[in-house]
Amino acid sequence: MSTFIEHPIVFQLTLLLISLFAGFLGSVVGLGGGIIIVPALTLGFGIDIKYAIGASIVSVIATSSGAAAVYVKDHITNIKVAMLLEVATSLGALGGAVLSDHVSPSYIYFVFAVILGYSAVMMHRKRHSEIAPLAQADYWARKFNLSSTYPDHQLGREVSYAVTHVPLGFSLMIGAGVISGLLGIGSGALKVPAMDTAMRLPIKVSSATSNFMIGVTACASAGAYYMRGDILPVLAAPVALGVFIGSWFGTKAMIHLPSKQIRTIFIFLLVIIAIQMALKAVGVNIR
Amino acid sequence: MTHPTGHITARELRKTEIVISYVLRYGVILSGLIIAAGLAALWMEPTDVVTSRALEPAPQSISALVHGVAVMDPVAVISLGLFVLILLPILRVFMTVALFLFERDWLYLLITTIVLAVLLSGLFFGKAL
Repeated sequence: MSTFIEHPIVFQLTLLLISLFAGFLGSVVGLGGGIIIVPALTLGFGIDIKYAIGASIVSVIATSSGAAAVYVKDHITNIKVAMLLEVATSLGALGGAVLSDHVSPSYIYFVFAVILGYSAVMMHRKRHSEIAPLAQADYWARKFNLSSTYPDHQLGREVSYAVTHVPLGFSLMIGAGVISGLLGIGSGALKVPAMDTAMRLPIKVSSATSNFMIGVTACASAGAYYMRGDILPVLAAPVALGVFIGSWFGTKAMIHLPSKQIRTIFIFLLVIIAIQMALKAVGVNIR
Repeated sequence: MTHPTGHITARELRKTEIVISYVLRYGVILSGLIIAAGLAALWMEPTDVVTSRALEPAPQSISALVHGVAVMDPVAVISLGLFVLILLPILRVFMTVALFLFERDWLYLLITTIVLAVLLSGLFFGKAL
């Protein structure tokens, strides 16, 4: 943390710019900023991973809460599905935050590398094919009244859908929550497949609902990180501001950018960071 | 869409959620302004003061936070902004609990109360866990 100590203001400005960039890029490709912020702080600046996670988790709340209004207005978010699954993600996130204090950092670096690699693979796989809507809801979906409709602008009509495999989706969400709390990221890359592949929600509904849930998930672990003293205001302030401003611009600029090329560069970036985090896990430092 | 008695209609739920999400959006802007003000105040301080406070955690009791903000301590002001940010999702869940209570939807009242309890336990027992 030598740069931090010698030139704190220069360091904070650098951090603000990097967070801005991370938030921008993250929102353009549809991931949160946390997945870049934590590696940037730990690999780039040698900051203790627990403080990097503390700074990141706060920015996750800022991004998700800021976007919430837009998503709900689109009438795509399934609010009941979100609330039911938030039971799983918030419990998982709290567990993840507790876990992070009891496992060694090299384990966290390793899990982080796995999640980065997984996100790269998921982004590489093109997801053109929409899974056909189901006709039948399962027992739990009926019990919790989860089936709904959403307006599809391409088809120009309301599409109704049923929800299935609720217990499986719920279990996967506990895992997504643990990863979010452990690594200080939104873990939307895990929430979306739990909803669209397991519970058979339409992909648009899955992404909107996932974005809606991220803030509540992050809040569960952020509270624990805050009270534990792992959120350093001097570090978290430029990160939270940078990510928030960056992702706001990212959402606005998204439609004007060559998204395909950006995705390719991003996947490349994820793979490189994944390798570096994996090396860090076994104690090798490469800049 | 038909609903059993006591259940909220999709439209009512959405209307409330839109109100809640605007509260969230302006809450984020408010917290961003508080954090920015704190950061600006911090930059007014001499460099060695900023350096010495780099690894200082956020005040963990409400009284310490309030006291710090009252004397315009930059780190405390930033912490207030961060604290407001953490409170926003709690506020959202709390408002949803109130909605389901008002609408007598006991199943979703239970679900949202559990979520609220988990979020609050993160804040209250976070240190002990």
